[in-house]
Amino acid sequence: MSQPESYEVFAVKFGSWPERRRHNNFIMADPHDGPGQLDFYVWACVNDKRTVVVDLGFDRKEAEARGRKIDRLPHEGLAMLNIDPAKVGHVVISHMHWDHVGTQDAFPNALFHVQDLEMEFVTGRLMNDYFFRRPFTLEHVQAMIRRIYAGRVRFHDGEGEVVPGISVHHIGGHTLGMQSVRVLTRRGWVVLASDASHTYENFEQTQPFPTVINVADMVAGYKKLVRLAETPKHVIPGHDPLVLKRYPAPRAGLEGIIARLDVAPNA
Amino acid sequence: MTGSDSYEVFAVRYATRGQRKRLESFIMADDHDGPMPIDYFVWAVVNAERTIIVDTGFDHAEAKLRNRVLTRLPREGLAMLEIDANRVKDVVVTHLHYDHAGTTDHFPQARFHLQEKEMRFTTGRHMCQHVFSHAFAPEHVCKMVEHLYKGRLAFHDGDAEIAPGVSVHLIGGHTMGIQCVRVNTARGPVLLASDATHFYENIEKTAPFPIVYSVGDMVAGYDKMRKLAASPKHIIPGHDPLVMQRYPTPRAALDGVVVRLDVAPAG
Repeated sequence: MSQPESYEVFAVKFGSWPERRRHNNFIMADPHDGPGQLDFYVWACVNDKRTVVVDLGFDRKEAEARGRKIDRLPHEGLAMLNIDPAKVGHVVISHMHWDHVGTQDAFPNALFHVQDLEMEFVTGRLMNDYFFRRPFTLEHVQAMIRRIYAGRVRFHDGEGEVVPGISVHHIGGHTLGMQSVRVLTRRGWVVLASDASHTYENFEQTQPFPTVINVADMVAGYKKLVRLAETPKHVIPGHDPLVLKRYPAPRAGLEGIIARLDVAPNA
Repeated sequence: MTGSDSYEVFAVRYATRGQRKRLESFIMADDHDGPMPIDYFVWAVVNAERTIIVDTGFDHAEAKLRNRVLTRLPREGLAMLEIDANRVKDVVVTHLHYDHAGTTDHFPQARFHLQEKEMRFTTGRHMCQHVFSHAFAPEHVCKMVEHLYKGRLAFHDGDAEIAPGVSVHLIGGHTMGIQCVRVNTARGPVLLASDATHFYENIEKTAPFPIVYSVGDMVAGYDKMRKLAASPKHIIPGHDPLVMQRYPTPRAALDGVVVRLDVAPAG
């Protein structure tokens, strides 16, 4: 590995899913069911040399097809941080679900980072069943295949370096090739869990999320996230509205949209 | 063996190419510059109850892209045998190279039989390398994933019977997941090798073909095919012009287009 560099890290909210209930987010039915809103994020890791984007969200067409609402396109959110998507050199795809891999065309010059097992999963025999196929979108998978043949994808098997100071780590569980991202910051190693833990409660209370291929891998993944992070407070869940409450906006005007993750949270 | 387990088998030539040299057919060619013309086939396995097609060739667009001359579309060749591609229920795709997996949408009712390893190969990390990717068409792979997402793929892992008297067998070597097809006929089991051996000479002289993923698997495949076929004369290579010379045409009108493989060869 090269000498690690340090990054500023941002969570950028581009939409929300307010209709969800708690039983949508935890595999064991909750007798006190209540609201379980999730937010949609992409993430950016930035220093004076590089910009690495983690996940690509989805576009308005996909939102309409799935009956979801977005506030802005993911790259419009990144533009609020003065990130030009055409200049992004690396994009990590945590997994291929519809809400994480949708706006590929907005990043024409990026090398995409994906796990071997994720491509194997989304083009393999389990996709014959609607149960497994439902969270994936054919056009997203096809766009990724074209990108592979164009030489714009780097595959990882387990752990791999993206750029100095940023690495991917296979987690599994939620999908076969789910990976999380470890980033060096001024406060130590931050882990962008993405959907290896949708909310704080999933990994803190060991409450598996119901969209899952292998529950045992998901639970082992909760422990791995904590092990990879400087402290449990350095783990950033993939869809939790609390992220925007616990971390500060990078500047006035971005409250409720962008949170800065390389500084200590307030809870 | 009952009557329904035995089939007539046909090779249908849909393209041919004369301007080709021996070094394109053998890793170690003695006479590099000698001529080595090549034929392109699809195959039909037919009895009173079933019609199974093996491979789907390529279309006019792909022919133009690769500077090949298409004599007729594969479905047009099949129509000369009174086979309506629109009504075919089962298609074996031996591997996903451009000249074997190109017109799958001409078979709108078919289920496609493919090895898991072939899909893994063509959507995975090896396709970042031109040496492995050049003989694949990304759009053919995307189309196959579309069939998968419509529930039309039958994945196999190794050996599998796909109908009474018809089985597929993983060979590997040429691609990671190439499979051959074994068919019961009146003269015993015939093996449609497809590109597990392009020419008689590849298998007979153990002279591997130069487009290859694993030479070891390719050579082991020659042995496996000898075991699967009733005799070496029951092995049908995938591209050898000698096939058209050794086997009889089913009727005069099909001379030079179709030969019948379930009868003994002349040579």
